[in-house]
Amino acid sequence: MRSPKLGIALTAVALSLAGGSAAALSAAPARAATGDASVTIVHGIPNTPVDVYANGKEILPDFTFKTVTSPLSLPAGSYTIDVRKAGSSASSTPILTATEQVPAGANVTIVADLTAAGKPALTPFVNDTSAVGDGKGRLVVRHTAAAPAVDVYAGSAKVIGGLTNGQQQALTVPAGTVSAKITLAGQTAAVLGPVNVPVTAGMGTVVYAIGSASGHTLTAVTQQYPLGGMPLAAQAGSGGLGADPTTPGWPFAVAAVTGLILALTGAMALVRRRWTC
Amino acid sequence: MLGTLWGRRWPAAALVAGIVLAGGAAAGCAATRPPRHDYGTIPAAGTLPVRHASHVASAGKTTNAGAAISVTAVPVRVAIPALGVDAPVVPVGVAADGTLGIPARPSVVGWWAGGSSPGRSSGATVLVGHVDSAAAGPGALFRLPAIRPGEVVTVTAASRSWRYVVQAVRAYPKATLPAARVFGQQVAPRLVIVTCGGPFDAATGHYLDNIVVWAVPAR
Repeated sequence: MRSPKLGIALTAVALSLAGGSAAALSAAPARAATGDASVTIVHGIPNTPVDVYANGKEILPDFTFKTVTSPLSLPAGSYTIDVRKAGSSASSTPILTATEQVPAGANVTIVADLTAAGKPALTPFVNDTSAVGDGKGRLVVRHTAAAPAVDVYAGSAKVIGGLTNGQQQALTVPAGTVSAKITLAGQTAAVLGPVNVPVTAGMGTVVYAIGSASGHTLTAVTQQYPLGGMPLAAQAGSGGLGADPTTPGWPFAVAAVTGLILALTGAMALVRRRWTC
Repeated sequence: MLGTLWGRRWPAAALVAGIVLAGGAAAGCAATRPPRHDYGTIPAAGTLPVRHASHVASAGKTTNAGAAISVTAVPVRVAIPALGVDAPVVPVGVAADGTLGIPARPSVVGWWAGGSSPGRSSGATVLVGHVDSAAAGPGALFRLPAIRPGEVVTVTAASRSWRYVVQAVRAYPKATLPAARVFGQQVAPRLVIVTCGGPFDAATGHYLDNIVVWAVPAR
């Protein structure tokens, strides 16, 4: 595990706003021209177990605060997401509902979260799957909590300033563990963390600030998703222990030549003897 | 007496010894040639299920379209009983230079999270593991080059085991790895395991070959 000097190593690469509308998703850069989309759902509403429906079918029963799903694989298309109180009937009025256009190959996360004012909402984010350099990963911080603007620290260095509800910011960092801390903007006392966030090479690691500051339920959950397109190569060994034998051929050549000379000498002597006998 | 006998017979003895020596040398030389790693038949692309996205795209009122949604069974462990392999699995991605990521710890196997996963109706589930590392010695897949068609690989994902039967083993020089054939997703469900092997280049610290294993779901 490396502990990178983040103050130097971190490079801010993007700052984007994510609106709570389907329009944000339609701008998704497709990972591939064809293929299923990947959708991850995050529960960021405290004390509210829910059932999640997609196009009328229950896909996540009894989905609870702080849960991050495994990626859902689904064909491109339009999806109506309904969120109902856990255990209520499928025909009851949803707490939240949204229709999202999911493009082929897109990688998307939908967060059931709280607005800055503490109201439940569904916030979609497009996960940037563009590749980063070898040995590096993308660290993304998303503010999806009922809290004012925050600063994000990696170790003792402030790496993101003034992030507000619904916003995200991405950094490219060397693989390793980042000790992350979130403070209210302009302050130094942590409202969240420090938490150790493992950053894996070739992966995006998303940290979601969820919950409510006033309700004392602020916490963080993480999601990982793959970066890059189709692999071209794999380097999977550096020790040489498993190498094929590379015994030099010359001892065998010497033995073979010696054997041939010996056999020829013997044969000639036999022949000559026959002649002289 | 003995001397006379030897004097008469040395040519015959030399002939026999020479033939044995030369033959042995040829056999010995052949035995040290690298294994060909050309076993079995790589599975054909197969028939892919047709997915009609339009069926789920109609006005958001469609019922039952959620059936097309599947939760990814994220692999957490891989075992190859015949080789004594049993290792944890973590997701990996792809770097900007196209190199498939690999877990920092050689005892851990990577699952390409951009590919397929066990239980999906199509695509290649790709695992990548260290054969070894200079710092830590043998890796999780050190013995993989010894795998042969017919042997079983089990992948643990979503709290259950998925069994695959090995169909083919190949070695490719890294420079000519057929990436589309190894990593391509427009195929019937399969498991692909990639590691390094073949000759080792001490100067670069890399193996020259990739060993690729193809397996299909056990029936």
